[in-house]
Amino acid sequence: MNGTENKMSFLFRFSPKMYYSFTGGVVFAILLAIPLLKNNYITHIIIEIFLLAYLGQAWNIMCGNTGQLSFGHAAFFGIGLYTSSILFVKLGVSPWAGMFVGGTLAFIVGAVVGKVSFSYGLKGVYFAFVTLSFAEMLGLFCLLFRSLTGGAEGILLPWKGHNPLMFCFEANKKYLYYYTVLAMVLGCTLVAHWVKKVRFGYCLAAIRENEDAAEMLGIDTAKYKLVAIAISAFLTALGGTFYMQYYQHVEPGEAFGAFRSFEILYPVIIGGGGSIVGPLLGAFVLQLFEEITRATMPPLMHGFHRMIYGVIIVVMIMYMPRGLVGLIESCKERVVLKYKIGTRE
Amino acid sequence: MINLLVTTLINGLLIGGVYSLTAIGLTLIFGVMGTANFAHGTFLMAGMYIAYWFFKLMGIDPYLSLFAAMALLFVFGWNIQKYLLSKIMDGPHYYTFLLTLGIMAFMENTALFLWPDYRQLIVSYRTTEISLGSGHQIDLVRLLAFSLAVALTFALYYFLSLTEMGKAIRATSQNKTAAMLVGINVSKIYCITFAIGAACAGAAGAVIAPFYPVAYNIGDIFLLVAFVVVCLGGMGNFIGAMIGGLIIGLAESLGALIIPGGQKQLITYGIFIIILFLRPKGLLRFGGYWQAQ
Repeated sequence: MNGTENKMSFLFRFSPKMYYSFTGGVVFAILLAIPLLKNNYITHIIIEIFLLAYLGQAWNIMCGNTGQLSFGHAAFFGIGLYTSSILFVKLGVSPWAGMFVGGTLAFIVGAVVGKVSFSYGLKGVYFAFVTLSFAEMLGLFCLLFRSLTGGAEGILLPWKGHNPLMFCFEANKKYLYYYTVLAMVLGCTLVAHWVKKVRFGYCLAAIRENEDAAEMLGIDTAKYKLVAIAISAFLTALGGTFYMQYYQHVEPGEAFGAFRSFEILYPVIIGGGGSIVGPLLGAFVLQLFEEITRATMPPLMHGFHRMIYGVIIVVMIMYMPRGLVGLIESCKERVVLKYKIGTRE
Repeated sequence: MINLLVTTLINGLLIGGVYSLTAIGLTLIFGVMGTANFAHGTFLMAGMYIAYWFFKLMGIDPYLSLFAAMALLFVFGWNIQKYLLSKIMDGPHYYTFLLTLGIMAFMENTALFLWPDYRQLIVSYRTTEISLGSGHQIDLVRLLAFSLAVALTFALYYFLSLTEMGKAIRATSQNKTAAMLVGINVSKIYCITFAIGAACAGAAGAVIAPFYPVAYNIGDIFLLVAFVVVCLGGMGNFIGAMIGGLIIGLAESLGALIIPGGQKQLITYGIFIIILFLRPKGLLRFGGYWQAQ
């Protein structure tokens, strides 16, 4: 023991759990305090980050855990968005309630999609394409049923004044939106954490690692995948409602398009699929990057950030398939190897 | 009315030829390597832009720059397989399609970044129509696109059936290990196959440039159609892709008549979903001797 202690040994007296709790607490305190800065721009950016993190986390519950990538989560997003908005516009139903109606509808649709896909044994690429087509189909349906959905013009929410009951917060006072989406992100993360802890999560992980082996162990893969996609669909739909309430106007392409589906999944892949922190980290990094490029580049530079995402994804899949989370883990391992070896544990 | 129907059918067939060519590229890549190439649509888009710029800058007719597009995309595809895809082929399957997704994102958004608007390639004979008698007219450019696509398809078919390299490719698609045992350099075959697949897409892009808007997101539509065709014909089934392309072209044209608002993609999606639930391995099972997986 003597002579092998080094400067870093004191760091290892604390357990990893204490580090995580401390960091988590600090981050949470900072996040709670952001609206106090009264800076609408910063609040807006962070709201966008949270929304992306929320959607990514919901996508991750299904896709990161099972390894079956869905390229059509925009379908559920759009279902939640349109359901709550149509109920709000046509029947005056509060979006808070409409949110859950949309979520339930998306749950059912997700279950149907899951049931049909997985019972027919659609996997991998086929499943990805089916979901992509399904989302695009829903978008086309929205264009067709103009009287219900407003067709190509989309839906514009009527302004009901500053009425929290109606999910209408004043445009200048973004903090209510901020806390709502913060709560949503936390809730979703808790759900993701819970999923990973219970047997259900382990079954999903087994499906991801080797589906045939999982089947042989007696796991009904179709059923578990179905439940996963239904839960994910429900959560994504809630996010759709929030998006609508925040931006107040949406077109079908924006809600159901492939663009939206991919936007949800880039942060998860880059941050690290299958982990809890991955989507959050990925959303933070990517959204921040997008804002920085938008602020610094001349206004005509469309798509620059997504160009970079493409490069990042290619590089990541080749060298860091576990994403940013994987990178952090391997750094941690190297630090531990370097400094912990030789310290009395 | 019958007039309209016949013209629609003919146009559907003409575009179907292009769908076939695109799908053949995709099915080749999938049949030989098991890679789902999400970037296939963007390869087509690249072919379009190559034809566009060759025309704009040097006045070269797109049907000539077709060969340049094919050559450039051949090289591009070769390098992608050699340096990017080969590294991850041993990993889980979804890595390959995430990688091609990344390539797609990169290529599509580079095009968006460089040229955010829709352009048109206007050749002097763009509006020339050929009369087929009894009042049916078809665009010359569509006919040329179809003819070239079909010619390339046949050329590829004979390449695969008669040449040594073609046989090596087919052998690799049937059984990779056995191919290695007989001395075929499988990684080189993979590079060639991916390159051919990319070249097919590039050729398809070049031939449709005269009558399709040249834009960064054209790839998405064609990727989906190509995938539907490949599912219809069976992954890796050359003849299936060829016939499937024509079928989808016809179905889409007919659908455009039926569905209001011109949302003809609905037919394509509908067919796709039906196919997947009926027979994901493909409806067309006759493929002669070129049928893998």
